[in-house]
Amino acid sequence: MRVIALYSIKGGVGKTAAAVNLAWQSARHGCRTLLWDLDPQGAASWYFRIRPTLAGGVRTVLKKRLVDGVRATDYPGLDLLPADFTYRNLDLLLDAQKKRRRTLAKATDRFAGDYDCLLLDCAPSISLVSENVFRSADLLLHPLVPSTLSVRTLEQLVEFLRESGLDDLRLLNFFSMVDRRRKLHRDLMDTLGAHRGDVLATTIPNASVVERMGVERRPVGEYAPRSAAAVAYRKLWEEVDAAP
Amino acid sequence: MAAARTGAPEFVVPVDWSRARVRRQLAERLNIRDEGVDRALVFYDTFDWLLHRAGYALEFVPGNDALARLIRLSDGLVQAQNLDGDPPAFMRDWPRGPVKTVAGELTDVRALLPLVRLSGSADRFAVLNREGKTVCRLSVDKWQVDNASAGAESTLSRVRVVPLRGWREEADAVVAALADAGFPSAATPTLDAALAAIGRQVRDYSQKFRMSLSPNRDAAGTARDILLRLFDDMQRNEEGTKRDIDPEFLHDYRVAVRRTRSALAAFRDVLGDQVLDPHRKAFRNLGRLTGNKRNLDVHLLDFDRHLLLLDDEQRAAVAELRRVLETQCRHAGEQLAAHLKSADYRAFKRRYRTFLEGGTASGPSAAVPVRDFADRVLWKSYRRILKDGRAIGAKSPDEALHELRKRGKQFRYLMEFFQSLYPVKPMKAAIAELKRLQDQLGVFQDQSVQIETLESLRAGDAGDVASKAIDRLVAGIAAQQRDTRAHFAEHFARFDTKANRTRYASLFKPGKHH
Repeated sequence: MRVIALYSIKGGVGKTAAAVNLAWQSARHGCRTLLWDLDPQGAASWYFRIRPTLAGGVRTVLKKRLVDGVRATDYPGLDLLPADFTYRNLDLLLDAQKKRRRTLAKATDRFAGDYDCLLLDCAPSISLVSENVFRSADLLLHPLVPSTLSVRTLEQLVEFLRESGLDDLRLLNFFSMVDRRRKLHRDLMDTLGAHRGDVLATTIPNASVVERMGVERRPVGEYAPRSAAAVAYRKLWEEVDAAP
Repeated sequence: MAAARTGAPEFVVPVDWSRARVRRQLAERLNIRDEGVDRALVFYDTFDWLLHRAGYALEFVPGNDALARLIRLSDGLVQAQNLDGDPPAFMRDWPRGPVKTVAGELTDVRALLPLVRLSGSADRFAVLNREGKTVCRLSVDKWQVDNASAGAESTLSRVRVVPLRGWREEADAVVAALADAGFPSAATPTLDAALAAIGRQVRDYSQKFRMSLSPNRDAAGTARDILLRLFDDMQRNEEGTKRDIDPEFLHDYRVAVRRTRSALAAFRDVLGDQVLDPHRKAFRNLGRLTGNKRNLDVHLLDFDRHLLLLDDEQRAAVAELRRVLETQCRHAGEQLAAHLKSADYRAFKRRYRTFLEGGTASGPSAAVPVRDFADRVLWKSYRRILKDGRAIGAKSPDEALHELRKRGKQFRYLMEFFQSLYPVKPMKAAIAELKRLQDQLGVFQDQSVQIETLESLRAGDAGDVASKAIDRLVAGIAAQQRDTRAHFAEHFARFDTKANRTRYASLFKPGKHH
């Protein structure tokens, strides 16, 4: 099972939209896929029309019966572990554990037999939860909105990974909410793409078809399969899938 | 037959209900949405039911959007995977997907075979909750079983419930709604009912020998029953062997031949030595005729594991050898198939069947109750293994180990034939103890065969690099074999313990009280 974390320090960067659409793509490509909605806001769960509640709340994360919380989505091969509002206390819960940095990794291991791919949709912030996520993941997928501020958060993330002894964790960045008409976006993408080896070629456009997900409550590929955004998510998945 | 417990409940559609009426009944109680129609359904499994034994049913929907569905029988959960046309026979040739991931490991070297085909229609529906989320699926089926036996019930009108992971309560509510709508529960799942229509049932073949014997019946009658059953096993694997569908058909065919040879040897003084003689010869011959192909099959199966011992250059050189082996294997298969189609072979089968089904038994032990007879041959067989095994030392030739392995196999077959005459648990343990010893001897035997086959390739036009690669492979296997050989005494001592001696004596030693 490959564990991929969708993560950003900043909110509002198209992270959950990417998690939902990549999970859908992963299942379409024949991987038994589980999306774990770790964000107490429960947006990913909501997109799949699944109530963001987990019987037993946040403490279930520590228990075997965590696997009973899994729910099938409408799409073959794609299941979801819904968020729960009590996830806002996940930091406290983890902090009280003996192996406080690796507790989540133990939880994700419980799904290894049932799935080929586990996607984690993480809440924005940099915290003990994030560190747990990093230690669970094989790959950290990081959406970047092309702005000067994002470049700074990327630097912060890299610095944090180094300080936490997580240099080995594979980090892949992709540009999200891109508006190619804006010069600033184009310039930043050119510079960053040229300087860093960990930026994926596919970019996700800032498109109204993605915003419509909130109305449709389906992955973009379901209601607008030929849209530029749907194609971009497919290409992004193919790049991620091919990454070592 | 009792209704099979299944996690995917099925209901019968009453004969006089129209499609419209069924739909209306569903729509009145459930929020349903159309999800398309299947026009045919084919169930698949391996010849020996590996999927069903592991708790799965594999169904395939042919057509432009060909789809394989793997259903877990315990909870009805489905893994689905689109395919480009008919499913490849070997799951290793399937494209990546959930069905391959789960079922591929289970089927291993065995080919998938179509079991039964249904034509007609299945209207598929999603059952939605108030959020518009699919919480369960339904399939409203009107199938005709293809090639149904005359007089068999060949129409399957059903509503099948397809639960989804994490939506158990919702599925239960759907089941309650269907019962409320007046659909009676189906007695057996669709697969079982479809098989019944073509005169078959699930798991109707197994590699294991299981037969219930009555202890007071005469040895001669029992001998015939056992031999007929083995003859049947052999013939059931004949077609798959001829067509070389997968290597296990020949394997099972040979097992039936070897079991028959053991039985014929054991029943000499029951059925009459002289009467049996021509049949024993015929089976010995059959063992030899099938051996060449089987050795090549095994070697091909092991080949890729051997490649790990080589470097890249050698691996490339040996790739050619694999093709040589494949050709040899194909030729051996053709020869074997030709034999199985020959007039000679058919005549042999006729003669043997006539012998089994008629005639009188001329052996001195013909009328002995089978339980007494079984004690006698099992005890004799066991003591022979002890004697031979104890005589093997560090300097004994390899041949002595091979002989011991054959004796062990004979003993094992005899225990399996007569298993039903003895208490279950001690008998299981007795077989298990022997199996442990046999496994070690089997490893040694396989290593010998592999070395032999590799050496035989050298005689061909193997180039210099390939020849070196053979050296390396042979050296690798020989080293493993020396290691196996060195541990023989240890393994035999584990078999020849006081506890085991008591175990076998209390089961088989003649004169004990049953």
